[in-house]
Amino acid sequence: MANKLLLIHEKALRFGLDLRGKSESFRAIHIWDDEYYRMQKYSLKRLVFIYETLLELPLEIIHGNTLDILMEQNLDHIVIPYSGDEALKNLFSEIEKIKTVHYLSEACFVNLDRTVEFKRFFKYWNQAKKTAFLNNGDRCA
Amino acid sequence: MSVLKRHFDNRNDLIAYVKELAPWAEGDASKILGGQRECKKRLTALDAIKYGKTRNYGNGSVSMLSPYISHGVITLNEVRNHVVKDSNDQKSIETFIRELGWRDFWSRFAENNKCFLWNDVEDYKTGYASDDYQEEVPEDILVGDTGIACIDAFIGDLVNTGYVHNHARMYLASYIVHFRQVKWQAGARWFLSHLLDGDVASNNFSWQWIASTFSNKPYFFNLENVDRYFNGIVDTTPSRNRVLDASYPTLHNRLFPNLELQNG
Repeated sequence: MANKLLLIHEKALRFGLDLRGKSESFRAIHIWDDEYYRMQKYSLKRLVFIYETLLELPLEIIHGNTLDILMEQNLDHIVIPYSGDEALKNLFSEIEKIKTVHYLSEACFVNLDRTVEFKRFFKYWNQAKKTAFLNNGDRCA
Repeated sequence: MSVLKRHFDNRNDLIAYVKELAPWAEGDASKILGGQRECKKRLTALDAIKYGKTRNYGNGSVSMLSPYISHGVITLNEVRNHVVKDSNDQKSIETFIRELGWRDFWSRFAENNKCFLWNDVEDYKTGYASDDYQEEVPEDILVGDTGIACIDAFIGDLVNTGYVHNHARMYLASYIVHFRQVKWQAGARWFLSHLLDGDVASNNFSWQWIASTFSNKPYFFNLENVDRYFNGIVDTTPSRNRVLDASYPTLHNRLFPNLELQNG
């Protein structure tokens, strides 16, 4: 019996490494939220691409409003793959108001302090290339 | 709340189903397939060394992985790991890995500077102010009827498949911002409405790079350059691409008359 809900959104259409060995206790869903998709102004091309990808994932595709559906779930904890996408971050903030959210972070690409700001790519790359060629970016710090 | 269908007899049935779910969505489906299997196929076919040598050409060995990366079907880390595992020569794969780095760079910058996602990071370096640029993409561009053969072909790719070769994206963005003097935001919005790999950070900061609001100078091009990289792929006949058929100094002086004149 699943005790956690994994919410798969359109920027994380996969099961991440973090869930290996734990998937049995998760119930995975994608919410096909008309209003949300409409607000993103996604074309039919993109919506078909998303749906087609969802079909290969072991999850339920539920049609409706994201917050309403999550409210109906009997589980307090929602697990969501993190995304830096602004529209999703706004949605995450709304979800946090009604459920406890645990974010899965994506494996990093390079070992760089996220708080250090590079205003030009070459400055970023001078640092990034030290770990960019290593498997798992040398397990980024 | 209802559970949606997961089994379809064929792709056309799936497309019809999605159309029914989203009658407001514009256009038709792309021929590019979604899914992990398709992503895996592209990853297996990836030749990062050849990519480094040919990526600027319209028929170059590009990965076509961006729609899958953008939707998280695969991560930058996984793509990188796949490429480095078979390589003993860092130099030969550097171009490909650096391109992955661009995406990471934009995402990091966006994380700390969300206010710049839709606002100029810096002033235009074109001799014009932001207010000098049009707010909307003109209709002839939206429908791919600019009268410039290569530009119309690239627009066709964007609208019909949701995928445009990166070099062609640069041409298109440059044409819109510098040749037609349209704000990068309008072009970026239009791209996002079509691109399968539409990612706000990568897309918008790339537009700003072209526009010069996030780079040191504007990016522009001429027909000779398009012909060099896309000959035989799009029509580069001079008579059908007159606006672009000029030397770099001539175009520079035409597009940026307020900047120092260039000789040539």
